[in-house]
Amino acid sequence: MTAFLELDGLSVRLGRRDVLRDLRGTLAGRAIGLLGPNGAGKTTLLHTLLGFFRPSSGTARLAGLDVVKESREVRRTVGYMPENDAFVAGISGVRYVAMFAELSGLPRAEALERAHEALFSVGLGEVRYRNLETYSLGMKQLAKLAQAIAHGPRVLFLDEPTNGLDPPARQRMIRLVKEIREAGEIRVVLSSHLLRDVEECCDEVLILKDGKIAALCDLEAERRANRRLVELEAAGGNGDFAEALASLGCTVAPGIRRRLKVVLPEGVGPRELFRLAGEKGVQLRHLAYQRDSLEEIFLRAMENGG
Amino acid sequence: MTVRARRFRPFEGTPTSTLTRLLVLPRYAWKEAFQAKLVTGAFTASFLAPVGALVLVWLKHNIAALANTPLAGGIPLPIDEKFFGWLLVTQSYFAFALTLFVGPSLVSPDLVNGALPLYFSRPLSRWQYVLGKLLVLAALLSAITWVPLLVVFVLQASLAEGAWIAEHAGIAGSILLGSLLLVLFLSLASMAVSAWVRNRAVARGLLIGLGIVPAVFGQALNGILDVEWGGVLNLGLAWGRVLEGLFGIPVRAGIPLGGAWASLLTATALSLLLLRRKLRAFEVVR
Repeated sequence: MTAFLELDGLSVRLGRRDVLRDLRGTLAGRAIGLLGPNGAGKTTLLHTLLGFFRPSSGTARLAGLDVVKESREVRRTVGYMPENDAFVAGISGVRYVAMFAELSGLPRAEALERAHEALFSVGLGEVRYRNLETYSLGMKQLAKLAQAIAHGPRVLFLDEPTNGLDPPARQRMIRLVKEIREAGEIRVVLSSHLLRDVEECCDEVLILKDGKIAALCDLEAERRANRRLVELEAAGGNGDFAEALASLGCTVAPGIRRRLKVVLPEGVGPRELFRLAGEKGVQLRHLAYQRDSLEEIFLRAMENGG
Repeated sequence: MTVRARRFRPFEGTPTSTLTRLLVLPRYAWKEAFQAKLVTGAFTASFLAPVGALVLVWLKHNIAALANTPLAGGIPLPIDEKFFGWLLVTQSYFAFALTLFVGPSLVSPDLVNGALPLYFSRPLSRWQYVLGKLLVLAALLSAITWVPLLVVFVLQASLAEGAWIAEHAGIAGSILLGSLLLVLFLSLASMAVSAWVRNRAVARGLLIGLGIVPAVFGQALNGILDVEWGGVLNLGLAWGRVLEGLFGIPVRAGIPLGGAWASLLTATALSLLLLRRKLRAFEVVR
């Protein structure tokens, strides 16, 4: 996969504080998560990519565009959903979305058509003629998402998109982000301090701590690797069974409570394990994939990184 | 195809030009502004004087229409610099009223509602945003100042003899110069004040105060230091002195013409500086 976000020694100083320090790395995922505790620099990174802040040193490339030298082109490419309230007073949902689509460079008629589409796609179709000020918090979040996608950006920046949402509204937002990602036309950069949001939506994660990269993690690769690592508990002759597993090409190591940790080779799955257990007259009482969750990755990064 | 179809598709067409994008801001703002009856009323009322002037000029050159009226002998009002000067004075009051209604609604709601990051995440610079918002008020004020006054001038020039045009040709330039100064000052000052206080009502109060507080301060300076230049702080007086210089209307401001121009231009420049400071996607807390 080609590089989508390249960070080349990016540092940002705001006032007397170094908010981002020498960020380096390349990300290529369809959906990139920016993860980190509050104040880690996630929003500053998004704002720098948007050209709101000028790097004090280094640069970054987004979708092949230099964020400093080609800032205007970057902003034409990006749809941005900010973290805080961001609406225009006194206008309806559809006018709000259409106006920002026009400001992004869409002709008037196309902007209006896409505004209707975007509001329907986020589930605000029925309330699109209502004044924005009468929207609930959840509706405002969805309206912000609609204005970010209406002009057909190639990249979508979502800054804490589930902030302040109740569980059903959060689920809906996550579902929408997944749909956008699955549609394949828009690359997503999602900034959040909520691990679950990032885990559900993203395939690559950049973890920030105190303005530095604490970890860069390909979640998809982690998931693939995790699918190869299983934990077994067998009753009736573990010694023989372990040898039989090794003969299948598995790497076997003893785990806690008489369990076995097994790395499966290509082409070997649970079906083969059950077949082997049957042949050896062994009962498999426990079989689970190892799950190195994002939470564990994050906690490790917070301990070691930064 | 229904609009309900969920489609996330990139825009493949040609993006609109910078000018077209710039004009999006005033187009939306005008629609909002004219939803207020007060704005529509003030805007309509501001055409009374120019329409009256047009009728007057026409009647002055069509005495036959005045037959059987007390003015059958002709209208004893000269159409000259002073006539246009007083007309601009009248229009400047309407311009100020319209500024009070429209100006504070231009940028303060965007600041209060956090909309600036949305504007600046588009291919739109801060200065283009300011220009777009400036156009909202500048176009409205132009429509009630130099545009109708030039129409009156053109009518007078077309009806009068060649000698009148030769003698009063400078009026058109004075109308343009004076009006543009007024439009620029009022538009930028109202935007700057509303960006500063972020509240429409307070901004309106402050705009009125802008005409009073520095004037009182200037008066106090005059009294304490026994000088006359304190009057340059009185922006209303400075505007009058500029008109006196352009049209020869007697204002007796007691301040030098250069000082009056400098006063208004400095206030305009300060407004620009304030806007530059306040209009950012995000404020950096140092």
